[in-house]
Amino acid sequence: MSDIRKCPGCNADVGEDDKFCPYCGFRFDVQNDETKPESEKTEQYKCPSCGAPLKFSPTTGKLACESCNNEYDIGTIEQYAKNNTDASFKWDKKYREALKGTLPEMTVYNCRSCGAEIITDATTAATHCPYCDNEVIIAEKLTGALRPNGVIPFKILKDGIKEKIREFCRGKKLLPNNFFDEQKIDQVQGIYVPVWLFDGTLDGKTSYDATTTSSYISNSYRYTTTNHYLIECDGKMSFSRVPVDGSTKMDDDLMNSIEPYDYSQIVDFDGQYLSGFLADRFDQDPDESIPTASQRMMNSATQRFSAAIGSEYSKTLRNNELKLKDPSVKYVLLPVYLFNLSYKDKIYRFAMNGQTGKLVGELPIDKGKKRRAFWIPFLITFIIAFIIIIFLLTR
Amino acid sequence: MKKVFAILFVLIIAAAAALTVSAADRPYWYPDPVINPFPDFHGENLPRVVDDADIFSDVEEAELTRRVNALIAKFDNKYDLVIFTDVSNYGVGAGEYYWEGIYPSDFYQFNGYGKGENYSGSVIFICMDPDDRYWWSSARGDSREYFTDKNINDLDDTIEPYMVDHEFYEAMLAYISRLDYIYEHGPKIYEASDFIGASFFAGIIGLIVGGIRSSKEVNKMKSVKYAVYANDYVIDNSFEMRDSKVSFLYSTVTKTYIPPSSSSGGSSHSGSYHSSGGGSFSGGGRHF
Repeated sequence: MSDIRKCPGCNADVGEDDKFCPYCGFRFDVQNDETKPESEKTEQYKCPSCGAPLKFSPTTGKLACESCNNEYDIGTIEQYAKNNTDASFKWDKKYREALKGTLPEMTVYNCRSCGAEIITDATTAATHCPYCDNEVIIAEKLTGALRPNGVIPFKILKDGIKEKIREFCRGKKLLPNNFFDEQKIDQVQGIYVPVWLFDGTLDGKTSYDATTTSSYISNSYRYTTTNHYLIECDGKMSFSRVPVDGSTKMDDDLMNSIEPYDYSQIVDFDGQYLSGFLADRFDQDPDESIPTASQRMMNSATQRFSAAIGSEYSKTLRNNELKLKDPSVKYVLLPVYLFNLSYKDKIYRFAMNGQTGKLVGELPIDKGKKRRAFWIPFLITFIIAFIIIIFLLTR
Repeated sequence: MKKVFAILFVLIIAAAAALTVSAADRPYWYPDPVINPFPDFHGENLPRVVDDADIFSDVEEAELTRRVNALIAKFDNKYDLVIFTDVSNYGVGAGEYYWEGIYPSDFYQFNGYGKGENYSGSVIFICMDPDDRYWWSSARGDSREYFTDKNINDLDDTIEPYMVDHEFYEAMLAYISRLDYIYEHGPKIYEASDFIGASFFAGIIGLIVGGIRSSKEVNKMKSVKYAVYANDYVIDNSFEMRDSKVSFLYSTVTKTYIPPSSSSGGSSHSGSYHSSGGGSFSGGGRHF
């Protein structure tokens, strides 16, 4: 008889494993649990349709809403009650296992202006900070710094950067006419940017609020029926080398925009690769970079799960229970050319992928050309549309 | 051989009969499909108001006749006009898309209405069938040019308030007046409201196209973007959907009232079609 207990709601005998009293609908797992906080003790499942409390219906074995008469499976409502779209899954501390080793003695330059720490080999002298272009004054010896797992050496020479800019500006119709005559490229600095490369597999369940809509017209009324669903998915997706730059001085969007790098060309770190170039010393720990990597992985995973469900539903992410498996991180140095382009007293920041030559940056916009880019298509479209509409109206 | 001719003759008779109405139900003016299947001639001294449904008084009929004749004379006998009413359309044109217009077109052609070589003119027909009341304008020859969709719609809008109140005389006076305006101002009548409406919608389309075009150009100037996804770093074929489950929760139904269009009442349509006699007509109308 150990599997029978009394219902506090109606005093009826009910099974020990029952979550609800089949006679009065009393919910055991919440209301009768003394160990749970007060806020949870009074928790009731809410109707997804109208928000009213749901009660167990002994006749159907489902949760019923007395307000809107909808009925739901218990399992579905338990899943529906989970509503967490946060992407901050836990990274096991073991993920840092690949980070080890120390650099040989290096020279470190501290920028007085922006605080950047620039390291290089003994043969290379840093004269200007690659981030803020101020003179780098203090030079010290650095020992015991974390040794990168790898480096992608520079493949592109900075000599061809003017031609790259011309190519980059091709087809940009809003560029001022005198841009190439008046623009001035400040010192082009080749720098190795510290980047954390995160690996991992997202595995688990996600759920989506989904709807389908149909409508028909009858007797001067349009009737629109919206069906609401809960869609649960279980699966996995693996990522390799999701990059997050480890320097707070390096603009994250600028760094993301010159992606992707061909990581198959990563080689073991050797101090000789720094000869003639500078390297930024990371000031952002992998733990601090995790949220950025997690968010990108999660966005891709939920997007892929959503696509796999099918396009017949309109979906929004409801609950995210994806867990990270086999996480790891590596520390690499990636080659970047940084330079400022000045035009009419304004500075425009540019970055170029030192491996692929991909150039990114914001270009100046000619206000007159911008106005024309709106008004010319506006007027052409207006005239054509006007003639067509008048023709149709008087047909 | 005689048998073949006999079968052919029967088939022709059957086809002709199918195109028309049966002799028993035929109105008095409808031609005999065997003896004179599709007459086409200029009738002399024809009445311009034929009130077979008897919805006009004698005084009203006389006044309408005077107005119609005045209209015909005003435009140098180039455009004929006849007001025709009947208690039914006798099923003429049943099955055709513009079946409402076949019967008045037959009436116009078989009675020899029309001016000039191409029988220019029009008929406004009021069908008083209790099961299917409607009016229909049907134009032939040069008049067709003036019976555009817009002008037919304008004519229908003009008389609809009177027709729904069964004020047929007032409806026909308004019809003649509006047709006079249409013949006077040409087939394409441009009104201020047309220009205002066209400017408004063309402006909206222009704003959308101009906005999209300039945004596209501005976006080309900005190549620094925030990275949202990590799609470039997904390991090939690593995605695996082990299970998916769709659970229906509930339905909601919304009911939205659709107000009738202000420019056209009742069920209406207009276009080009052929009468049973093969004449080409343009027209349109509405049920009431």
